[in-house]
Amino acid sequence: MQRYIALRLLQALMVLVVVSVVAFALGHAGGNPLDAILPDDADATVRADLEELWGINEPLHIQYFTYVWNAVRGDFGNSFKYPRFTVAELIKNRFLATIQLAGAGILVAVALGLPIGVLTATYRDTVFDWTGKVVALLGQSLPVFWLGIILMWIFAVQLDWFPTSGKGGLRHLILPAVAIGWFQVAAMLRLVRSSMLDVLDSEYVKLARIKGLPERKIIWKHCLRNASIAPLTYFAITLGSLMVGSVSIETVFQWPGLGFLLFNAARSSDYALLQGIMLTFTTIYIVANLLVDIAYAYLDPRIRYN
Amino acid sequence: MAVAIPTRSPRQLPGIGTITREIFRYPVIPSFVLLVVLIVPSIFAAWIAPYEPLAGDITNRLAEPSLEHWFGTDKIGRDVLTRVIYGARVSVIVAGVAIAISGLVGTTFGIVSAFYGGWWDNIMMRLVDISLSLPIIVVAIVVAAMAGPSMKILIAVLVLSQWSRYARLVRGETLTIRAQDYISRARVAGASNPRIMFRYIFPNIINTIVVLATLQVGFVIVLEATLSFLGAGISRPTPAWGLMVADGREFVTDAWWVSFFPGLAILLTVLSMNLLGDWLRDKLDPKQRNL
Repeated sequence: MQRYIALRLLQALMVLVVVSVVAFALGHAGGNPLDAILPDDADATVRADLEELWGINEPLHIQYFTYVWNAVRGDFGNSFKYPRFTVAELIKNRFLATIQLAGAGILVAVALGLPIGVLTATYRDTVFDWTGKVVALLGQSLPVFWLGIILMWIFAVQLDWFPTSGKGGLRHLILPAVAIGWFQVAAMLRLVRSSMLDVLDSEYVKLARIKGLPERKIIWKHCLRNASIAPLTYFAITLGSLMVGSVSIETVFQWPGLGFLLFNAARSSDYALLQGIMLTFTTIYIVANLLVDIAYAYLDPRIRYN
Repeated sequence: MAVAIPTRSPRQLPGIGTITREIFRYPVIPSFVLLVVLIVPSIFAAWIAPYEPLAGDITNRLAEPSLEHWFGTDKIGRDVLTRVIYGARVSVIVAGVAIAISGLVGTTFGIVSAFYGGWWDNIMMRLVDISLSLPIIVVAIVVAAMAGPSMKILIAVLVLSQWSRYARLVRGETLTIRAQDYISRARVAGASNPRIMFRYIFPNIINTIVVLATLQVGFVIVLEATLSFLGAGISRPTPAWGLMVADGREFVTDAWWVSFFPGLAILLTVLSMNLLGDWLRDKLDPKQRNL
C-alpha cells in the first residue's frame, strides 16, 4: 500500500513538473512580455529597469527555478490586466465561486440522476426507462455551453424566472448549476441504473420480498443503499473535471470564478495570470485524481498489487 | 405499488420483429440520414447554400427566421443557414484529421510499447498517464492565447489529448495477442518483428481501433466546438459552429436564432455519431460494451 501511494505521488509530481515547464515555456514562447505592454517608442532605461525587476535578463533555467520556487510559495507574479491585484490574490478571490458552482452541479446530478436511475432500473422497458435513455443520450451529446445559452434564453429571457448572468443569491446559481450538472446527470443515471439492476437480481432482495417487506422499502432502502457505492465514488472523479469543465459555463453566465478569469486572461494575453490559473487547475485535477486512486486502492486490494 | 420482478433480459423487447427491434435499439437509419443531411450539403455548399458565408448585408442584421433567411441572419447580416452548412466543413475536417493522427500515433506507440516491453514500455505508459491527467481545455486556452488560435494548433491540442486513449487500449490488446501461440510460431517461421507487428498483430486490433475512433468523433466535435466557443480554436470569420454559438451569446435577449441553429447542428451531429458508434461497437467488438 505504501509503495503504491509513493509511486502514485511520484507520478503526480512528474505531471506537475511537466505542466510547470509547459507553463513556463509558454510564457516565453509569446516573446518578450515587455514588447506586448510597452509602447514602441519606450525609453531604453525603462525597459532595462523592468527587465531587471522581472528577472527577464537571467538565463532560462534560473528563471524557471525562480518561477517554480515562487509558485510553490504561492507567488505567481503580477497580473497585467488587473494591476491592483497579484495573480495569487485573483485566484484566491475566484476560487470559492468555482467550488460553489461545481458543488451545485454535483447536487443537481444527485438530485436528478439518482431517482431517475432507480426508476429506470425498477421499471425496465417502460416509459421511465426510455425517458432515462433519452436523458442519458442527450447528456452525452449536448454541448454544455450551448445548453447554457438555451437555458438562459428560456428561463431568464422568455420566462424571466432567473437573472441572465452574474453572481448573487441562489437564483443566480440555479441555471449555471443545471447546465454544468446535466452531463453528470447522464453519467450518474447510467451508473445507478446498472448497479441497481445488479442488486435487484441478488438473493437478499428475493429474501426481502419473501419476508413481505413493502416494495417501496425494498427498492429505496435495501437496494439503493447497496447500489449507491459505485455512483458515490464516481463523484470524487467528477469534482476535478467538473471544475475544469466550468470554464465554458462560467463564460456563458459570466460567473466570476476561475474559468471566467481564465477566459478573460486569455483574451487580454495576461501571461502571468494564465500560467497561474493553469497551474492551479492542473493541481486541483491531479490531486483529485490522486485521492480517488488512493481511495480505490484502499477499497480494492487488486489495484494495489497490479 | 407492485413492481414486476424482472424475468426477461433487458435487451429484449417483446412483441416486435428483429429488424424493428434493431432500429429501436440503435436508430441506425435515422442517425445515418441525419448525418447525410448535416454533412453532405457542406461538400456542395458553394452551389447549395443560399448566400455567401462571409458577406453580410448590414442593413438586414439580426433578421428573424423568414422565407428568405430560414435560420435568420447574424449581427452583421450574414445568413445563418449558409454558415451552418459551411460550418460542417470545419467540424468534419478538424475531427477527422485529429482522430486520424491520434489513432495513427496512439496505435503505433501502443503496439511497439507492448511488443518490446521493458523500460521503453514504462516510459511510454508514463507519457500516456501524463497526457491523460492534463486538463485539456485549460491547456488549449493557454496555448491558443500564447501562440494565437489557428486550425493547426487546434488539431495539435486535440491530438495531444486523444492519442493516449488509443495507445492505452492498443497496448492492452497487443499484450494479450503477443502471448498467443501463433505469434511465437510466426517467429519460429522467421518473421521479423515489424512483420509480426504489422501482419499478425495489427489486423487483430483494427476493429477495436475503429470502434474507439467512431465513439470519439462526437466527443472531439464537442471539444472542438467548445474550444472555438472559448476563442481557443477556429478564429473569425471562418464559419464554425462553436464560434457561431459564441457570436450569438450577446444577442440571446433579442436574436435567439444566431446561437440556436449552429448549436442544434452540433447536437444532432454528435447524437447521430454516438448512436452509430454504439451500434458499430456492438457489431464489431462486443467485448467492449462498457467502453
